[in-house]
Amino acid sequence: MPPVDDRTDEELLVAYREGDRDAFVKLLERYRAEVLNFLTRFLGNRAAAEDVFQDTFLQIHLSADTFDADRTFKPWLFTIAANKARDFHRRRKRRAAASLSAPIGGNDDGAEFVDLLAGDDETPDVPIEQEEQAALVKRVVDELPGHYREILLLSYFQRMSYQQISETLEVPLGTVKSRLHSAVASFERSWRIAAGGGGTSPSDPLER
Amino acid sequence: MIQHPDFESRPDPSYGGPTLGAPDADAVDALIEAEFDLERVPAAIRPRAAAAAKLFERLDALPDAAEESDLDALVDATLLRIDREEELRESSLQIETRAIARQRLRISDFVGIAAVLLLAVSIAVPLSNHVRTTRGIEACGNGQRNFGGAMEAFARDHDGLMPFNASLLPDFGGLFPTDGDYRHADHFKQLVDGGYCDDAACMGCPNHPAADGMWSYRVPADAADRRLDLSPRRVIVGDRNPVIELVLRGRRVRLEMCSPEHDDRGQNLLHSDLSTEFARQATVTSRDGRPDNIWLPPDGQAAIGRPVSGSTDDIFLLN
Repeated sequence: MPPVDDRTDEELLVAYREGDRDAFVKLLERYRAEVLNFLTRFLGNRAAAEDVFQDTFLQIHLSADTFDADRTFKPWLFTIAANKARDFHRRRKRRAAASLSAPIGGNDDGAEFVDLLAGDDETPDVPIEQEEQAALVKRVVDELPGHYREILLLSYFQRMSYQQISETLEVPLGTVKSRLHSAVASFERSWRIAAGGGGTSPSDPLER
Repeated sequence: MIQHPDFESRPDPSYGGPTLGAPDADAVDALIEAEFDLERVPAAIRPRAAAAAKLFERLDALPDAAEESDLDALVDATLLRIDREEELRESSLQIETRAIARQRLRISDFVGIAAVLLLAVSIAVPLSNHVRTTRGIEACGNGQRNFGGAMEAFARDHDGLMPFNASLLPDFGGLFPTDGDYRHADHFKQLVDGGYCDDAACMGCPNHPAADGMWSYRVPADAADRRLDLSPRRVIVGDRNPVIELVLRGRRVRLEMCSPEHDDRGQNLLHSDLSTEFARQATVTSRDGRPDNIWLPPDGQAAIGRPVSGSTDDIFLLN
C-alpha cells in the first residue's frame, strides 16, 4: 500500500505549481470519489458527471497559478465543480424543475410552511422496497431546482458549514441559510407527494 | 422593452415555493453547524433536528457513483486529457515560432506590418473599449442578480417585504432630498446588517467611481408597495440615476439620458420578480403596458422643461 501523503490540499497544489506533477495526482485521488458522487447526484447522470469531473480538474490545472494559498482548497474545488455542472446543465437545456407552491408572504395567499415534525411520520402505509426507494429519491432530487439540489448535496454529503457553502457557491451567508431552508422544505414536500403521503398541510403557518 | 443582446431576462427560480417555519429553520441551522451530530444540538430543539436529519438521510438512498476500478480509469482519463491539452497548447506555440523564423523581412514587409499594426490598433482600441464596457455591463448585471437574491432572502424572512427604514424618511413626500447625505439606497443597510449582503460593495454597480456607490432604489414608502411579490412586476432597483445629481447641480437633463455607470448606453434594472434587464432607454413598459419613465418623478416636466410621456405613477428611482 503506498504511503499516505499527509500534506494539506493547499500544500499539494502549491507543490504542483512548482512542478511536482505527482502532487496533482494525489489531489485528484484524494477527491475523486467525493467530486464524482457530488456531480452524479447533482446531474443525475453518470456519463455527464464523468465529463464534468474531467472539466473540473482540467480547470484546476489551468487555474492553479491563480489559487490563493491562503484560501481553503476544498470550497474552491467544489465551486469549480458546481459551476461546471451548472454550465453543463444549461448547455443540455434540461427541463426546469416545477415550482412547488404559491408565492411567499401574506396570510391569505398561503405562505407554505412545511413542518418537519409532521413529516417525520411513517408514510406511506406500504413499505417501499429499497430499490424502489432509491429510484424515488433520485426522481425527487432530480426534480428539485438545481440550486436547491446543489445546496442539499453540499450540506449533507460534504458536511459543509454555512460559511463553507457561502464560499463555495459565492453567495452571501444569509442567502445560503434561506436557500437551504427552502431546499429542505421543497425536498420534504416533494418526497411526501412522491411517496404517496399527499401534499403538505402546514400545521402552523405563522409559526415564527 | 429593450434588452441588451447579451442578456436575457432571468427570473430567479427560487422565488416562491415552500419554506420552513422558524423552529424548523433553527433546528436545521443547528444540525448543519453540528455537522449532523445530534448530540451537539441543544436538547430543546433536538426532536426537530432529528426529524430534519431523518429527512436528509433519505438522500443516502442516492446511489454512489464510485467503484474503485471505475475511479482509477476516470483519474487516468482525466490526466490524459490534461496532458493532451498541454500538448495542444505547446504545439500551437511552436508552429507560430517556426513560421516567423522562416521569413527574412524586407522594407516593404516592415511597411506592410506597420500598416497592419495601425489598422489593428484602430480596431482594437474601440473594440477593447466595447469589450470593457460590455464586461462592465455584465459584471454589473451579475451583481444585481446576486443582490436580487439578497432581497429575496430578506423578503422570505420578513413576511415578503422589501427593506425600508421609516426612521430615515420622517418627512417623505418631497421629490428631492433636502438632506444631502441621505440616499434611498441607505435602506439597504438592513440587508448588510442582517447578513444578506456581504458589505456595501455588493449593493452597487462595480463601475461606480466611488467605493460606496449604490443602486438606485424605488423606496416602498407606501405600505401597499412594500411587498416584493406584488404583480404586475415593476422595476425596484436600477443603476445610478443620471437625473438627480444634474438637477441638484442646476444642470439641464435630457429625457433620453441613461445611467452614467455604462457610458450613457443604458442601465441594469432589477425587477420585482428578480429578473434583470439591461434597458437601453430610460423608459420601460410599466405595469399597465404604458411607458414608464424609470428616472423621472411624476411631474418630471418641471425638471426637464418639457412635457414627459407616461403616467402620473411612474417609477421614480432616486439615487
